[in-house]
Amino acid sequence: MRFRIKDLKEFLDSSKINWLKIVETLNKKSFESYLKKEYLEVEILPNRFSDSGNIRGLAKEISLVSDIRFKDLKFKLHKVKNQSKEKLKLEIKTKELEYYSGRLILDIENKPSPKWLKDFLNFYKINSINFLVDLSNYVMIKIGAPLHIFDFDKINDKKIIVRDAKEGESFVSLKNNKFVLSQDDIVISDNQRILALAGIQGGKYAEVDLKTKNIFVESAVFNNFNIYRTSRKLNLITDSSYRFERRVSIKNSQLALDYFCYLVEKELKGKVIFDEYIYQQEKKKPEFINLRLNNLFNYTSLNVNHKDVLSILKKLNCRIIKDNKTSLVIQPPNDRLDLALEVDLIEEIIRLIGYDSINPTYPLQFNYPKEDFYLLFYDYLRNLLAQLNFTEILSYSFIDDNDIVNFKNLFKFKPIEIVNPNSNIYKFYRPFIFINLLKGVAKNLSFYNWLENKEFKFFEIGKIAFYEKNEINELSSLALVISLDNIEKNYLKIKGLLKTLFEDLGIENYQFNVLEHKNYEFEFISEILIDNKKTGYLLMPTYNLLKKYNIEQSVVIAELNLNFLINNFFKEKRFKTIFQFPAIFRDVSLVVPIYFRTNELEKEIRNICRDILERLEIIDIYYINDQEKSITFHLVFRNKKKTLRDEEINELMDNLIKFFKDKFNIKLR
Amino acid sequence: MKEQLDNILKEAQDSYYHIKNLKDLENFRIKFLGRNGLLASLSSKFKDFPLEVRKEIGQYFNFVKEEINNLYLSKKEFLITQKKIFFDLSHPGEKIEKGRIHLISKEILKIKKIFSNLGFNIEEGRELVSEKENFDLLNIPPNHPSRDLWDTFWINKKEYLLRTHTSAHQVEYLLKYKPPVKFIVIGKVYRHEATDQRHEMQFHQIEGVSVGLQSNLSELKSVFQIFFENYFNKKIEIVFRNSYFPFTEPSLEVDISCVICKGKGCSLCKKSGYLEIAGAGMIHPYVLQQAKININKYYGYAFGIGLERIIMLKFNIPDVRLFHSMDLRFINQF
Repeated sequence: MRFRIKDLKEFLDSSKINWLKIVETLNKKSFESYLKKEYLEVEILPNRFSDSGNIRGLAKEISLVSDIRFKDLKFKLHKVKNQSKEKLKLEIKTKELEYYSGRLILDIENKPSPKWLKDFLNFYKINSINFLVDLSNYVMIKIGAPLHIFDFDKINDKKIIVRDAKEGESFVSLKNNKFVLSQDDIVISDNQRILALAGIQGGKYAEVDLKTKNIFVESAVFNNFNIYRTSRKLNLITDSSYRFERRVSIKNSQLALDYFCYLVEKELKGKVIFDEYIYQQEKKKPEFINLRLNNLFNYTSLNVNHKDVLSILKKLNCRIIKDNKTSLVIQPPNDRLDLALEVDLIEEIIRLIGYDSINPTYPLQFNYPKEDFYLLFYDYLRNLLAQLNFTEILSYSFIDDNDIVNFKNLFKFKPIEIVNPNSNIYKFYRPFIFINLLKGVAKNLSFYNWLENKEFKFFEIGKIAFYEKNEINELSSLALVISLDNIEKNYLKIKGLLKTLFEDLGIENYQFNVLEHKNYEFEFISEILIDNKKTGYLLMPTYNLLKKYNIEQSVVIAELNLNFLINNFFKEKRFKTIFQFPAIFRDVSLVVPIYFRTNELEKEIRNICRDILERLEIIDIYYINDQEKSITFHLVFRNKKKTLRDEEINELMDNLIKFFKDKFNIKLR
Repeated sequence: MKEQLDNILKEAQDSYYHIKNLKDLENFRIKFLGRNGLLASLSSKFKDFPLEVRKEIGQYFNFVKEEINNLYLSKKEFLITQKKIFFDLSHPGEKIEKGRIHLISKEILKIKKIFSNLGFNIEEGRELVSEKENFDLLNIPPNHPSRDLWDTFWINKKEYLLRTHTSAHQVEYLLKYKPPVKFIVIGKVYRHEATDQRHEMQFHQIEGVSVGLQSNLSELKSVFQIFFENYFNKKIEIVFRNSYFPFTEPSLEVDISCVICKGKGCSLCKKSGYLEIAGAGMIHPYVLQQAKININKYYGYAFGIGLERIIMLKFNIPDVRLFHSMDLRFINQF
């Protein structure tokens, strides 16, 4: 909020004020503040808006943190007896009202506002309407309590009823907007029509204009929660609602009413009627706070003496009810609504002493630190994948409608929708990470369009979530993406990567279970099974689908559920015996029909060689023609208990070749 | 005799570097290893020595001969290969691809280490939390303007949202560990905000909590000092300013002396000499009570640090949106 320096000066008893110094002190002890030309820009904290969000209040705060004396308003109100027969009747029919007071002012000569008032409102960004209305706003900015004025002659039956709105009842605002209300809202009405939406905005029916002679002015304190709810629901945020939400003290409310009446009398010749209409919810007992002085030390390790505490409390206008030197019973000033608990007073005292006086002391209490297992696992994976030449990407945790459609085959669960997304491209919380990595590939393909060899290997570790039986299921996930312009190479690379990853985790039993699917979006989709449990996906989108993401080269994707891996496989490794007996190796090239599956051959070889086959590698695949291919296996044999003889292996190889010849009619190359 | 052998070896080593072609090489062979070469002529003198000396000299002779022969063979190999294909030593080295860990993850690792050394447990928490966890338990009641301090992404499940701060786990972990305890929660948080160079809808936050018999503002000041001095590897001054958060009382803004100008005033700190770096305070008794903590015995402090903010200061990164941009031109720099 901005405050003109000349307005603040009205409340400060000093001819010479060093504003630069004031701003510096405010910054540390009160609010973030900036000194501008002829005004201060002050970010009043939300809990202090009720007392400091007005000129008088900020001047009080300045006086509290500096040595400048506060100079309050001085005025005298002349009240007269009501001569006319017309009397107002006030009825309160709501529980959401803390305090209500109002006065009649008669025989007013309303007119347009003078220049000083127009300038004032202009600075505080309020439109000038007419002198009466402008004075009410002037008082609000100066004292902090919003007032509302009704044209008395327009009030039907001279009745003011403060009540809960009826369901479906409508209210027409000054700006001619219609709002439909519900029982949660409070209104001010006469016996027929709604005159104002309480604490938020006035209505058309009792609007004050230049012809207005007699007014009823209201100064009230409405329930702040109630005002907040109504104002957000109707999306109607006004200067008045903003203040009521942050609470208004009864003390300021009373002062504002009196000051307004005084101004109307002085400036517009109004006659202020003696009788005041007052309602107050059953008076709460004054709140006392018990302040234990040792808590000041506990909070700061500062030795604050009793005398200093008393002088600060005095400056704060606190009443000391009881004092036994080690603890005090205190009644806080009734315009400081933020002071309700012992800690509130502790804060008040510490900030006024100054946070700079707190000295650092090293933590003395020992705590044996533990780290969450998941975080440790992420670090392990990051290291491993970076070693394997993958680059970690961080993406936004959101996807859009198109992504949902494109990958609908994978979405067995309902995705989590953001009710108020920043943009439609961030509409859902991601149920998979890989979709964003696809976008990452597309992005980098365009950044690196000059690259000769566009090969990208990305991974991301993060949270995913979706609904499972209407409950949120949040999981940790690892997505891997490889993109290069050779489909087969791409596929073999990711399979090899997964193999290395699983081997490092000590996972032996894993399979890729190819799923049947009836669409053209994927070359294939496989489930990754670990110990026969579904742990993730391995899939390759078709060229068609990739084109939708602006990717013109092959991409293969894997995504793994980390919760399952952590719980079952994140263990320390154990030493395994290093075998001393020498190995023997053989290369064997088999010529098979082109459609023959490699894993069939592999299965048979392992079956025949059994234990002594230590390692099996495919070192070459050669396409002889469009019917046949040759696959070369590199086989390593070792007996763990003795030295193998060449003859044993020769015999084994002969058996192997004979078997393939007999069973599949496969030749050697 | 030994001396003579040493001289021959030294001569051979010297001339080795002057062999430019196969002809030089052949001359080298004839001179040292040939039938009438230096070594052969020396060997004829062996018989003049007594037996035991002869044995010793013989061994040394063989060693020298072997050395010279190796020189000959390696040069021969080199000259023959060089003759076949020209070996260009000026050719650039082969490009070795390198994987990378994202800057954010790298910095999280360092931060975890500093806090771990200070005795803080390290936690992650969930990203989807209830309104109760994110607000109510932290003394931010519904229909209260203090909720406006956080612009929230709501999801299509009633009373659930994307956590706006990692403070959402304060009560959860205080209940889990029981005081005295220290922990940090480090992870992604979300804000429904228009984005620009300094604002993001998704960023990382470090929430710190310490509850114990002396977890107070004085200890907090030293924890901040240790953390920031370690993280920025510089001497740093900590300044507390008055602030307001519903879940702390007293509440503080925390400034550090500028990491560039050390408090003198520069363009980074807008001439103030200080940088706003964290929010903190003593945990509000309401929050401690939600975690079933005896507020007459224990008290505690909490703080929140924006991770991207401190990384940007450390590495001079101008735009917060780069972190989640997936742009390798950014990622590959670190």
